[in-house]
Parts: sequence; structure tokens; C-alpha cells
Amino acid sequence: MGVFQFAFPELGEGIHEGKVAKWIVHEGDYVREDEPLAEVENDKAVVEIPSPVEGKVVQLFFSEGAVASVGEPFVSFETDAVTSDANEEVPKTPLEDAGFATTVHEVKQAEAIEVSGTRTSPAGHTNQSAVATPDIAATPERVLAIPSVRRLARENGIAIEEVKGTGEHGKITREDVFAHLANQDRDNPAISKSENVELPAKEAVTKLVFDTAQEEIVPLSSIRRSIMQAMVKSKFSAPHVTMMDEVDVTELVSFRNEMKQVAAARDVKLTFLPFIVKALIAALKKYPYLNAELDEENGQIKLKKEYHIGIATDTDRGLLVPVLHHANHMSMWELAEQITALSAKARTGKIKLEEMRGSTASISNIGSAKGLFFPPILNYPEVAILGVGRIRETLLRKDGEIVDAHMMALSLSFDHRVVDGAMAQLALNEIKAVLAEPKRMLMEV
Amino acid sequence: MVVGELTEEVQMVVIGGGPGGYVAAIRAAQLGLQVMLIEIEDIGGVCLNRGCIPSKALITAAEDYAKGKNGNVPGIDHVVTLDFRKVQEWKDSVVTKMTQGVDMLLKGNKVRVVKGEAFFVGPQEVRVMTDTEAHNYHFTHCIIATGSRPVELASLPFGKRVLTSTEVLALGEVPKRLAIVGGGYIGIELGQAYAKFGAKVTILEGTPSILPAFDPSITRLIGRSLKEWQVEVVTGALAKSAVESADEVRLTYEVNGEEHAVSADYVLVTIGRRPNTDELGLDAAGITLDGKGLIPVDHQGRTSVANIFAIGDIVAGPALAHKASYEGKVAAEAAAGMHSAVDYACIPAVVFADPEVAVVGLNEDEAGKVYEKVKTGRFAYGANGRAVSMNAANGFVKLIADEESGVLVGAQVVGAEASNLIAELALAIEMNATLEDMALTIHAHPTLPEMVMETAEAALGTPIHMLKK
Repeated sequence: MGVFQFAFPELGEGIHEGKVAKWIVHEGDYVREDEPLAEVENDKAVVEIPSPVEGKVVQLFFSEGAVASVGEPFVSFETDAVTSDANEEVPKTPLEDAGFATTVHEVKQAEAIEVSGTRTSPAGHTNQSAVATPDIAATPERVLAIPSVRRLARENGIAIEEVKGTGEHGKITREDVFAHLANQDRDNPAISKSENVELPAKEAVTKLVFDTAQEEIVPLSSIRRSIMQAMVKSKFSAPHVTMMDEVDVTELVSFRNEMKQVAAARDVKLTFLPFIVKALIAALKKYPYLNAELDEENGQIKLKKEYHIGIATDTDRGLLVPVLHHANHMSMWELAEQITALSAKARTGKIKLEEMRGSTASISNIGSAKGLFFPPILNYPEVAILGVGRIRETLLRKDGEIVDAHMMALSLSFDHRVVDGAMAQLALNEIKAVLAEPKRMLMEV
Repeated sequence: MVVGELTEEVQMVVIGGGPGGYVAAIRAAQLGLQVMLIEIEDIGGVCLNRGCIPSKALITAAEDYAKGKNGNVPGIDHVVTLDFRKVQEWKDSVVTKMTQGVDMLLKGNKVRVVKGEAFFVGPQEVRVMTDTEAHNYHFTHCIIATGSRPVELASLPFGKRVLTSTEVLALGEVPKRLAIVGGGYIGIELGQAYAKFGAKVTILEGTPSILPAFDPSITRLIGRSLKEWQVEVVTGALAKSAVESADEVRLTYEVNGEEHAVSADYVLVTIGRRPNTDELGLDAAGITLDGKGLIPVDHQGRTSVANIFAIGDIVAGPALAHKASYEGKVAAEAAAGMHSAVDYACIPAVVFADPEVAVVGLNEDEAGKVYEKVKTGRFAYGANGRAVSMNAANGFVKLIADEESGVLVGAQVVGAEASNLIAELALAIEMNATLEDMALTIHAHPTLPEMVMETAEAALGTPIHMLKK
């Protein structure tokens, strides 16, 4: 029997941390290889972490709700499955790499406790003995930051060593401290606000009074956080313009009603979305600059030859965008089935990261919530997103006559760096033409 | 003790009016605290009254006298006389001017000054004793800034002719012979000054080198200068005893097991300083000292008792006035609720020897232990126009940088005005300046600081006024 320490694994490309949403096993449980250990929430999805070995769970290193980083000890097992070799691999996590690093970690923990205790204790300094009588051999390189920036960090309760420096040679600037502060507030608003200064001066008293205001503090979930980042990135990178238009979908409405029975027979839920996907792809094919990505660095535009359509989906945990990969190769039935399956997965949090990646253009449907026109935010780095509003019954003047009609609201947002207004309107006209005359969809398959 | 004790309420008590204590008191008052400063002797402490300031006055006087006597510039002949009593009067007037200035500042900041000896009777109460009465003060915050005093050798008890630096600074006449036990900065500074006034000076140092904390390249220059002033330096010397007689003192010492003796008018014992923490009743406050008699404190100067701070010579680190002042400000700010911390990159240290020595940050060896690769540059005073035109061509500037980033991590200056040149280098270190930054900063010509720019260029491999090796 050996002890195997399982380090928190990488959950996907570029994902370095995850929140332990739920432990499926408990200390003392016996697990087989590949049995799930825990549900972990990362940027976009909840994933199950499978056990790498068969054996008895000795220790769970995180409590539910805690955020684990790649490489940190996650679960330890008592197992026959590993040889002593494998055991030796274990300590090679970044944290344990050097005894020095571990010591620093402990120091920081001690400070953190002090901060929440009664003593004033701004972090952001080397420990006392190091300052007073520098033991040169044991002194690590001092992080680069000028005195006023160090003070700024201290005043905000930040350990200067923890701030990521963006200046030359990693020098920490004022802006870096503010950025760190913003991140910290996001991670844990409650902790960063609690400053318990003993014998407080006037300034501190006002702070305390302010803090007791009647506000409910809701920590951002990791999904909310990634929505926030994605929206900011999109809105502030791509100059958006939205074209808004209406289309007479009377024919489409009656066609769908006809097909509903067939759909029921096939056990498929047929909404308007598959039709809209088809219409969008038709327009994207005709106007390839809308199914594209701007490569600013190399000064080029990549025109995508496949059509992966993201479907913005509202879930309890926030907005998710599952992707219909190769939607251009799907029949209407397949589209309908896929949309149903993916949105169900998204709503239950079982969707995989791969199922939310790689979209080339997206659709956002506000019609189901009775919305009409709106300027959707691009699913960056896509160039176009089609916003779909509700279908309303109205009277229409057509060929000199007043007729009953079903009108659908459409809002097409596009990245004006890549596409100009005229082309966008032409694309929107194409979408309208296909939706107005569903027979055309036959020609577009 | 007086019957019927009165206890007064004070927000902040500062014990000790030296460069740590008075600075802390002023800062605390600036931040709105009601402050009381307790001083046992003179406001300004050792620094203003018996240390930094009077010694610098004497050193300046000695330098003036020596330059006059020996002629700094050829072609100018002087007839120089020395009235040492007048020199001392002038020195005292400097001290008075400075301490009066501090008095005025304390008053202006509404700091109440109480004369007397303070000791703790509890974690929030001190008793202040004067010759005639005792008074108790109950405080919310306290900063202890009691400083240090010279260490006395058991074998050489202080007496009429075995003196501390305090008495040596106040001598009424220039001694014919002065023996100094201890070749640290005080011994070197005072030894050189009295040698310039005409005393025959002998310095005994226990370690193999004078100024043992400094690099050999620095001590070599000082050693040479001491020789020029006919100061005898004996290293590896162990002082055994001093026998005082009516008109002299005989000092016996041992070198390599061999006994020697030197007779002198006075013996100055300056082998170090010990913290004034033994008569404060710290037990009553709940504060425990470490093995060296220092008070353990955190990064804000806070002791194990949360409302009591300690700063300066009584906490770890070099016993320097400017360190005490810095810590005093931090402690006062912390007491007032600010998030200040002792968080400096470097402390400059200056020896007012001839030539002056000033260092800041890491030396080359220390830097080598922290950084993978170290880059250094060195530039001689002899290649600087101002140094030569001041007839002060003796000395060098050395810069030590992290090679990878080019960021300055240490500097050493030996030579005229080193004490002033070091300021730019301390600022450069705190501001994370690189060798390039310093090389690209225009320095006025012709000045000594041009050497900083030149040294940076030397480190970068392209000095103008120096040929590459």
C-alpha cells in the first residue's frame, strides 16, 4: 500500500483553476479508477473529476466552495496501484518545488489570519526579521515596486508579492495594484472589505459604518465572472453596430405548424430556431465576412469555411453558449434535436467545454422571453450575432391589401472593423428572404 | 514616591526624545493624536546632543584646521591658530540651535514634553519620575524610543580618563595622546578628527580590520588616510586593562598573545552600543526581550502588546538615526490606524571619515547570493573634473546591479562628499532604477554626482572618461 497524492488536474486548455462544487466521495471511501471524485465548476461548466487510481480516499484537500489551482494537492489515496516511483513524482507540484516556496505560503497564511483578527495587519512586507536584519543568503529577490506603490498596496491590504507586475522586469505599477484589487474584490468581496482596525482613527470608523449598510453581498460565480470578462472584452474590442429589421414569417409559421405533428411523431421538439439557423447559414455563405475572425496581430481576416453556430442559452447559473458544430451539414431535424439536447445539457450544468467552443457566429433569442429588438453583444471574436425577437401578429399592407401577418423582429450586430453597414444589411436581407419563403431552405441544404 | 497618586489620561506616550522619538511624536500629532513625549535628559537624544550633530561639527572644525595648517591648495599660505575652547563653544551652539529647533517643532505640533524617567507599571500605564516627584500616565498607545548607550568593557570601566564618546566630544582641550578601543565608525571618525587637531592617536581594533562591516576596498583607502595622519592602527588587539594615574592612563592590550601597552591622556572605549531596555519595567507591560536585549516587533514596530510600539536602536537592525526616524513615522502612523509598514529596500550608512564612506543596499558578495548574476561598475574620483578641482581626487564610486534586469541593488562611495552622493543612489534603488536610467540621466557638469552617471556607464561597458581594461 502506498499513498498517492493526486494533484488538481488541468481541466482544459488555459483553465488553471476550478471551484470544488461538490465532493462525490468522502474521506475513507473506496473508489475505483475513473469513478468521479468531485464536481468542479470552472469558467463555463461543471465537470466531474475522475479518480486516477483505485484505492481508499485518505484526504480531501479542499472544502466545497474552495477554488483549487492546477498542481495543488487535491486528493490523497491509499492504493496498491502506485509504485514508489509514482510517489516520488507527487511532490513535484509547483508549490512544493522548493522548501522556500512552502515557507512563503505559510507566512502568507499567517498574515491572512491576522488580517481577519483584531490586530491591524496590512500585508505586503517581508517578515520582521528579514527587514530588520537581512539574512542575505535566505532573502529572495525583492519584488520591484517603488515606495509609493508599496504603500498603496499596504493601504489596500494587499501583499505586494502577490501582485502581478506588468512593468519592465515585472515591476509593479500603481495600475497593477488597482487591477489586483479589482480581482480580489471579485474573488471575495466579504474578506477584502473587512478591516478590523483596533483603536481606529476617524477614517477607519467611517469605513466600518459604511460596511454595515444594508446590502446583500453576492460573490460572483465563476460563470458570472467569465461572462463579465467576455462581455467587457467584446464590447470594448469590437465596435458594434446593430441593424434592425422585421420580416413577414406568415408562411414559416404555417409551415412549422404543419411540421409540428411530424415532429411529434419523431419525438422532436420543433421550434423556430432550426429555421433561423438555416437562414443565418444561408446569409453567412453568401457574405463570408460575417463568418470570420479578425486577426489584428497579423493584420488579416480569417474567413471560416465551416459554420459552427452558437446558441445563447439562458441558464440558472448565467448565460451559456452551446455550439452546433458543422451546422451547415445538419438537416432540419438534426438541428432541432441538437438544439434541444445541448440546451438541456447547458441548463443542468453537464455541458462539456468542447461543446461550448469554436463557434463562428451566434444566435441570441430573446423572443421566447417576449422581447423584440435589441443590440446583441458579439460572441467575441465572432463578427456577427443574430438577435431574434418575438413573432407578433399584425395587419400588413401587402400588394394593396390589408392582410393578417406574422412579423418576426431581427437584430443583426456586426463588428464594424470587418464589415460595413451595407453588407450587413444585405446579409440581413438574405436572412429575411429565406425566413419569408421557407421553400428556399430546400435550396440551401 | 508620593502619596496619593494621580493618573492622567494620554492618547499617545512616546518615551525618548531622540531622532526616533521626536519624529514619532510629531507624526502622531500631525495625525490628530494627543501626544506626550517623555525625555530623561535632552530633547534630540544622543544624535543631537552627544552624537551625530556635535561630532560632525568637530569633524568639520578639524578638517578646516588641518586644511588651513597644511594648505589645501598650493600657493596659499596660512598662519593658523587653534583655540579649542572656542571650537567647542561653536559646536555647542550648533547643538543648541538644533535642539531648540526640535523644541519649537514639538511645541508647534502641540506635543507635550515631560522631563523624567519613565517606566511601565502596566500595559497601558507609565510612571514618570523626576528628582522630586512621580506621576502616572494612562495611555492608549505608546512608542518606546529609548535608544542605546555605549557598551562598557568589564576590563576597562569608564572613569576619569577612560571615556565614552560623549566625554570625548566635550573635551576642553585637544589631548596630546588619545587611545581608542574599537575601530568602528565612531572610533575612526573621532580618532581622525583629534589627529587633525594634533593628537597622537592610537586605534585598537579586535578584528583583523578596521570598519569590519565594510568591504576591504573601502577599508584600504581609510587605512591609508589614517597612516597619513599618523594614526597608529593595531588590529587583532585585545584590550586588557587601563590604569589611570594623575595625568595619564596606561592601556594594556594583547596581540597574538603578546602583551603591549600604550600611554595616553585619555582612552575612548567605543566597541558598540547596547539598547536602553533594561530599566523600563517592560515586564510590567508584558513585553519580553530577545537574547540581545532588543524588543521583538512586527513590520509596523508593534510589540507583542498591541498598543505598544518600539523603534530605533532598541529593535533589530542597524543603530542609525535615520532608521529610527523612519520607524518612528511608521509606528506613529500605525497607531493612528494607517496601514504603514517598515518596508524599505535599503538604508544608507555613512562614515564621516576622511575620505568619507557611504554605502547603501547590497555589496557585491551579498548581491551575488541573491541574484544569479551581478554587474558592477567602478569609477575613480581622479577622473572627475570637480573632484580634481576640489583637490579631492582620492576615492571611488561603485555600483552593483542585477545583471539580468540592470536594476541597481547596491552602491558604495568613498571620497569627498560621499555622504551626500549616497542620497541619489538610495533613491535610485527605491525607484528600481536601472544602470541605463542612471547613465541616461543628465548630471550637471562639473560636479561630483557626474561620477554616478559615469559609473553606470562603466558598468554598461561604455564609460567616457575612463579607458576600458
